[in-house]
Amino acid sequence: MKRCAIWLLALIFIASMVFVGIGCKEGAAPEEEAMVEEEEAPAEEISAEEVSIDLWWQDWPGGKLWIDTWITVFEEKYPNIKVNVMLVPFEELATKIFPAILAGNEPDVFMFYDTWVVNMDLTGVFGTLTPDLYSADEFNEKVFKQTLLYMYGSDNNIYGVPFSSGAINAGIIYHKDLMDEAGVDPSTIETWDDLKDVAKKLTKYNEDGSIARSGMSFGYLHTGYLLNDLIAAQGASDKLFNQETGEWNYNIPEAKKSMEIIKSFVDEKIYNPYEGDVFTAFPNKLIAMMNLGPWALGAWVDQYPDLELGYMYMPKIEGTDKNVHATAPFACLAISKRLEGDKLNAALIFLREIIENPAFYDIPIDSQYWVGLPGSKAYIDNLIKLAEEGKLSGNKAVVEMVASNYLPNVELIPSKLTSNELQETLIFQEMQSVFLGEKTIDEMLDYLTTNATLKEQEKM
Amino acid sequence: MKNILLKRNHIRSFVIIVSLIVLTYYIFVGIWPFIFNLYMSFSKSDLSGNWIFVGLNNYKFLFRDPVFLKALINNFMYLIIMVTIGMVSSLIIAGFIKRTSGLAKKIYIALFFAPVVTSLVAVSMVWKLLYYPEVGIFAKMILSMFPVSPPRFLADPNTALLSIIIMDVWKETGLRVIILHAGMEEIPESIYDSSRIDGASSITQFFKITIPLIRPQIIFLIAIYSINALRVFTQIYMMTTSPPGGPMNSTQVLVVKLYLEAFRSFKAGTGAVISLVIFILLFGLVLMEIKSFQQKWEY
Repeated sequence: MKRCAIWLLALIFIASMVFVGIGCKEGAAPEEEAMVEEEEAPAEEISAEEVSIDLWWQDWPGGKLWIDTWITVFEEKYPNIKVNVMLVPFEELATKIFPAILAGNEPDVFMFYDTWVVNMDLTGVFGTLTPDLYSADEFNEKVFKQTLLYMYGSDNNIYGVPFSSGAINAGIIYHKDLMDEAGVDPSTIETWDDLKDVAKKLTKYNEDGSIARSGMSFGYLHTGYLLNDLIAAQGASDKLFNQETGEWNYNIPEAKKSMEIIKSFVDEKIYNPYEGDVFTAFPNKLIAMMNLGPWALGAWVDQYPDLELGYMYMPKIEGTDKNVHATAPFACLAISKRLEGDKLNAALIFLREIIENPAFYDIPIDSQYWVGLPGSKAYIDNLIKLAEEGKLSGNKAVVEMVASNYLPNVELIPSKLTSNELQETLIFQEMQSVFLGEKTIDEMLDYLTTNATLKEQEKM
Repeated sequence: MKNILLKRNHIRSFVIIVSLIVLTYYIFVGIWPFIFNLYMSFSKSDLSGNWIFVGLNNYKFLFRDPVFLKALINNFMYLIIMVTIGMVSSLIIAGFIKRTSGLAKKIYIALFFAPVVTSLVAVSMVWKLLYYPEVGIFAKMILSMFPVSPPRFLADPNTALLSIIIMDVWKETGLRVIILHAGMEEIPESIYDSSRIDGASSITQFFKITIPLIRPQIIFLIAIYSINALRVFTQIYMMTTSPPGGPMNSTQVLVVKLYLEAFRSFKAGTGAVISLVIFILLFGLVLMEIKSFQQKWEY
């Protein structure tokens, strides 16, 4: 009896291994199908009565509302295309997509961030969008050219559609009620010195002199990008990074000045570097202002509905004309390389509507769950026109204010390092060591020069 | 005789076949992934899954990465501090519980064991809130009792790792206490009676009788928790995720570094090198454990 049970178990095991092998083989086959797909030029017609496409979309309250509402609008216009959404948390989105592509079971359309694919050849990974969706020239007319930097494959085709940006370091979010309480008008802030003066008035102290509420905070998420942005705003991007040799050089006066500007908030006891997680501290009013993208205006609406938040564009460094945004991550959409026929056409129609139909962006901007800056040029141009006619208010006015300053001033540093490699785990950590008094600015800049170069050259 | 030979042949065939199946399974699940990992450590991949041989490049860049070296140091610090505090506290608690009896003993054991069966993710999230500077419960308690600056816990690079270790010790104390207590219960009471006659105090009995006689349990727990310390990830990642690796990389550990390299930066080759380093360290620990168990103690 016991022996029979063992034989049965052995048979089940062997059977399972055989079926696993079959599954792997099926995954390998579609590469041949993808090659056939490239030779055909599908005309975007759906011949089937109904075709469904699977979409992976980032899960956050604003995003859920956005996509649910948009799909209703889309399916009304295209009743024979059904969109099945799977919401995936941000962390899992990053780690699920590429294993799914390698395993051959990625969804038909999926969301990702362009900073994840820096220096990566998307040819043969994602589905080609040129010329089926638009030609390269048409793409540059319909979305902002700078945002397509990481979307090209080695075959010069475009593989992703940037549709929305959190607009990192576009500006500063603040508590309106705290501003009123301090008797400060945020529209008077034009330079970093002005910002510091206002932040001083907003700072509160404990009895022992420690900071109870920071007037201005530099949270982990965006501050690692802020250093390069401030350097670029002083016109020193070329001195900072040499694309040919892959060398970073933070030992430049502009880098030192940028760090001195930010560190002065610590030295003058306006910013508490020990405040902990800013995404808990800010809504609890332990921080009065912080550098964050305009998407944050809607980020806490569900948890903290009583918050009154405002947004101002990033002030300029004295003596400079404009802010230059050296990092501007965009949320993008791409299609599976395995699509063909009606499914391919349906996916392309879905992407075209996202770029061309203003309703896609009206949904989040008009709602309380703000999501960021639209990637569509036509949409932004229309907002600018309405602003000139005096017909804008509310969130749309903020979008126009940020977009018309931010998007034309994006000048990406052509580094091969992802945001995780450079800003999040290297730059911000070193900035913290300066804020906490563990290193001098010169030591930190030296360290960044050595280690950013090491990481960059590893990728060359 | 013929029947015995036939039966012996059957048993031999059966053993061979079952052994082959187990070996096949082990090759798929253990040996093959290890060999492929070794190959990956000498290669670089693109998003299409194509691998390019790069020799020792991954090793070279990783061992020059100060964050990796910091992660190695942090792991060893985690091991030493967590095991020391954990074992000392568990020994003391087990000693106290041994002195109780009946329902009280059962209640104490249940109370200490409750955190062990709680989800580590949930515990990490709750303790993260408890540790919050200014508004967290711990900060408020300390500020109300002592005239000190607001404690920073996870926001301070000097205390972040220790804060996580304290949470880890709290969570796993119950399991250590149960194992140590079981060992203590096996010690014959006559030894304690004899020592009492000789004038030994409770503390002398604890150090001279109890601890030597539960040495196998102590070594077992040190080995197990050392292995856990080298593989620590969940609590570190949950409690110090912004930025990953904690303030100034003070909670950066090997498995977190592996995750960031392999899954966030898509550098599977570098991740493979880190996993090999972890394997070598764990292998060394397991060898030490085996050697310790082979020791014979005489009293």
